[in-house]
Amino acid sequence: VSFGSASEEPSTLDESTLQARGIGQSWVVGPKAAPMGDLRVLETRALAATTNGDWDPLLNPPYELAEAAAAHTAVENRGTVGKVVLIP
Amino acid sequence: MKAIRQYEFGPAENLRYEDVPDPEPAEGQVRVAVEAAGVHHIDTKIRQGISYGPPPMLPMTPGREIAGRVEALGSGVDSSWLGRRVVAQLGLASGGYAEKAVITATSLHEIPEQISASAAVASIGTGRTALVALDLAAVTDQDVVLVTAAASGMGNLLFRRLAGISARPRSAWPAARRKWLGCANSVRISLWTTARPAGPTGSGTRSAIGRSPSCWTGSAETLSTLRRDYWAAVAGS
Repeated sequence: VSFGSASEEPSTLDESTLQARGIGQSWVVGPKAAPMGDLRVLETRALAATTNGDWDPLLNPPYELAEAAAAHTAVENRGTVGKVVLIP
Repeated sequence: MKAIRQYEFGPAENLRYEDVPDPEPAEGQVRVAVEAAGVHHIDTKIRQGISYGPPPMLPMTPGREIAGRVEALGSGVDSSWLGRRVVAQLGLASGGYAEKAVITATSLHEIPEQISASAAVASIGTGRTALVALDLAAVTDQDVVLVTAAASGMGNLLFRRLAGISARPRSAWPAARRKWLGCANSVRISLWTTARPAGPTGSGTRSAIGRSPSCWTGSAETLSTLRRDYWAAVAGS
């Protein structure tokens, strides 16, 4: 399951190799991603996962709103760890 | 209020911090005093005018997810929303990189008091996509799972959720977890080969590897020992 391409280079998996090994491939972001289904249901589940402690989102130190450009530059340079947020 | 405004597609410097009028909630909308606004990798593509969909109209305020407190209501909105802490995905309308944002009331989710605005923002958009990945991977306790780019906004959610599912070989996991979480942004793994760094075209990746060479070596070793067993991979690149 492919979920991103921060390196700017999508994963390239050879079709014949995948077939020979019986491996399926799917995408959740980008032009090949399948429709996500009911977004409201997914959002509710995702928030519940945070509330219940099923996951605890890793947060990059927040940027001030005025530093949005710096936040973008850091994301583009893979200089962040976890979710990036702006704080007004 | 203060907001980020963009008048042209291009580099990050095009994001300007400016004074703008407060947005007024239309019928069915609320205005939220923003406590945290999410930044996505794709935001940087939209900024450059090269995202998948049609580029947005300019000028614009970017930002497609916010958390904060409802401070004003448009007509027709249930008055009980006033003052509640909420999180919402703004969608293509954007406007999240701001002190205040308007959003349709039906898009709101209330946030429990113990959840920070930042954690709520991390959950709403990145989290929902992570759930789709997890549903597709359908991991069981018999699987060994690789999460690449595990330090990313989405990767860490996948990793933390999957770490809660018993996986084999269990003895290999504790050390591997730390390595992957700590340095996986510098690592790229294919389903069918040994681990390797992103190609020479990924200049950002090269610099990341340069910062943490020991991480890279450690992860590669760990992966080679697990490779025969792994069944599923959840991979960023």
